[in-house]
Amino acid sequence: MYSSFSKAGLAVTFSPTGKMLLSEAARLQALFGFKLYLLHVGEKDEVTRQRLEHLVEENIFPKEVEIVWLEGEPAKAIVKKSKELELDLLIIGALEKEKGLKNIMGSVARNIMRNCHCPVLIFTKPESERFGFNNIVVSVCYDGKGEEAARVAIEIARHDHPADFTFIKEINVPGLPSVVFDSGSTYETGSMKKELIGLEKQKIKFFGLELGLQEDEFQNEVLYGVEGWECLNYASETNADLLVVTMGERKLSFIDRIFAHDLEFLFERIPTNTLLYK
Amino acid sequence: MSHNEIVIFLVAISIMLFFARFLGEVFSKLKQPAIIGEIIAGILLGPTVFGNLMPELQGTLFPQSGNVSLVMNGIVQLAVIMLLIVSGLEVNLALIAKQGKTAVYTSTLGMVIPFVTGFIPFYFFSDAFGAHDGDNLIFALFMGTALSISALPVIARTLMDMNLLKSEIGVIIIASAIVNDLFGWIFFSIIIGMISSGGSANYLTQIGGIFLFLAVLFFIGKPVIDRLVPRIQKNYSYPGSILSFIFIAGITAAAITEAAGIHAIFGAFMIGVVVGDSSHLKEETREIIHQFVTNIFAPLFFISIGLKVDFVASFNPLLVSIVLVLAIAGKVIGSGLGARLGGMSHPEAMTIGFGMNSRGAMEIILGILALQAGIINEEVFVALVVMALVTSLVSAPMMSIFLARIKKFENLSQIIDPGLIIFTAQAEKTAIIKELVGAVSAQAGVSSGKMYQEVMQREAAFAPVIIPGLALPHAKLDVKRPWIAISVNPKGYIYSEETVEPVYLTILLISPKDKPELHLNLLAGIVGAVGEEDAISRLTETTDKAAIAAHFKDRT
Repeated sequence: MYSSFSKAGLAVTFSPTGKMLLSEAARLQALFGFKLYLLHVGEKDEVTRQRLEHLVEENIFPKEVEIVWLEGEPAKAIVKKSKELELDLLIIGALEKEKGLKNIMGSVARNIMRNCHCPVLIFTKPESERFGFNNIVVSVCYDGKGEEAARVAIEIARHDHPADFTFIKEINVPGLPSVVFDSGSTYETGSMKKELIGLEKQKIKFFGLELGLQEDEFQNEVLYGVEGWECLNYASETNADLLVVTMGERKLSFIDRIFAHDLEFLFERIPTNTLLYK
Repeated sequence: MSHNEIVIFLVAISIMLFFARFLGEVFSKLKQPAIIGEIIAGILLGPTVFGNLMPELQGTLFPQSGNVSLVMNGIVQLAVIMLLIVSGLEVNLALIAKQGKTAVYTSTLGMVIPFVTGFIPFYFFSDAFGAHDGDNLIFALFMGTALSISALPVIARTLMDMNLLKSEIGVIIIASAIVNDLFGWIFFSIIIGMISSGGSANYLTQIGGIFLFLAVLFFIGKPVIDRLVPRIQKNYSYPGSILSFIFIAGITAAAITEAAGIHAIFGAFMIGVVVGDSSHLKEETREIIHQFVTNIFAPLFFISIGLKVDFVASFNPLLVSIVLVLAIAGKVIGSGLGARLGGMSHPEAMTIGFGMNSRGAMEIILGILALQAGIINEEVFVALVVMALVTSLVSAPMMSIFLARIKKFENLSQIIDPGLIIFTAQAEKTAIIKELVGAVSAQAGVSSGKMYQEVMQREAAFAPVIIPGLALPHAKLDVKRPWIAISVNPKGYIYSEETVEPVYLTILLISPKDKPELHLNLLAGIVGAVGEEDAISRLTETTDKAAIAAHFKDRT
């Protein structure tokens, strides 16, 4: 059977969240059938080994699980090992928001999200007994990567049967409010927005159909506003439990953190469990 | 103010507002920037026309000194600050940060080259152009800045009228114009600072002050404003409270920068930038602010220019021509070259060059401030105003010329070819698709067998009858550009077992594999054009292929 992921890693800790993450990983392993590597940063001693093994035994893993010991700065070590192991998915836990300077300088989770070579599934709200995602929101990107991300979402949705499965697209016309400045009317800008939203709705519909979905299998929503920001608000407002977003080719720099746009908003605030596809 | 003075002041304001708005609307109706009408209204009411015909009445209504003039100046000063807050709101820093190298090259060269073309001649020949003695450097720096600035509102309007606002070219122009505005105002503030500091030893302190203000604003002010904006919008009366907040912040910052010797406009502009950058600021709020400032303060400001300056007496044809030539050459060559280096084709680069060329309102604000500060005289000011108006006027027609030469095959009007429209009596899906494939395959350079196979494979994946009467078979193949062929069967036929209603139009779309979004755009565009009321009956009743093609052309 085709599966999007064959090798996945899980950054494991001994916190209560860490335990729940293992449970989530076990469920996903049943879905995708990947080999799971437990990545632990810390000294390899007998006590820790036993604790880790005990954690593994608490869950039912349908496929192979291997413990990998790492040393050094956690984010760097995990990113490096993910590449060496040629993982195609990395699962981590993260806080919804980082405070103050950490937000600018980056926490472990944020650094992994930025620098990992493969898709990262970030759990901000892990559960120990999840039966499936119930509200999946996919922020649509029309390029090849975006299509792959949507295919993964469809794979999850076909398994989990969420109550809501929504494709959303954010659109924005730079300079549109300025038109009002030079003798334009809000009626004019309003009708332009309406027209663009209509066109975009058609595009999302075709996007879904092209990926083999039936019309009644997904909803579509077009959000006019700040790109990268509106999808986060939508995910929060609709209580989505999985958000799927695609990361573009361009590496974001420090400048992007100050003048935040697109994914930078996500790094500032992760509204829910998020699959960052890249 | 005495009772009489109050009456004169109120009458003057209402006359100014009436004439400015009236002529502004007239120019809008003529599809020209409203600001041209507003300035002409000032010329009519000012010393140039009204003052010449009825000097006494003009002098009573619009006095150049005394209490009425003082209050009027106060209002105009406030109007400039408001205009700068609004201009700042439109500086979308994220748009700049996320634009690729094309916007970076376009904005950089679109600023540097006009700056140089402005600076060099005015530095070496400033006496001939009317600079004040000893002010050569400041005058030349100002002229460089004045020639390198762009006017976002006029540009946005032109792009919208030309249906380019959402296009790649449109976004590059907007992003580059924003960069030019931002740096233009920073440069101008430095120049003003140089004057008020009065000596070269103090230049560095002034520049240091500007950067200190920027640092405090971005690292402390911005996070605070970002937290305040959503709270104000949520917890207090909307939109009243957020409007008040923006203007209070803008005017306070203006006061701070003025006190620091930079210039009030700089603080106002930068507050606009920071507030506008907040993702929490509602789009609706922006439009309300625009409406408020555009319809009340902007007309008062632009009409006041004509009231102060005699355009006929200060019109120096040689100077006007020189400024005009330098401005157009510098901007079009600079921005065009930047766009070309950024990877755009020659006609695209020229379209961008002329798109960036509009100076409009920004130039005039810059000019009047320079006139007030004594950097330039009235002759130079008039030349700048004429240049601002002419560049705004020629922008759209010049862009159209080069736009027509761009062949990118990205919209239906460029792709649909009457030669690929077939009237058929066939009433069977596979036969019709074969006909369409036969028409397209040779031109697209793909074998008809392969194309047919790909199309039929898609057919199996999902039903292509999206709206009643239209079937839309399609495929993505290794082709260089998209192809569309249309088959018309006026009697209709049953497309497949699942479809009940007959299909009259079968449109085959073949798109390049590497452009997935273009494929979706075209699918959505076709559905939009055919989905209009009566479109199917209109398209099937005619036998004129050109008319069918025109139906799609009209809508893209």
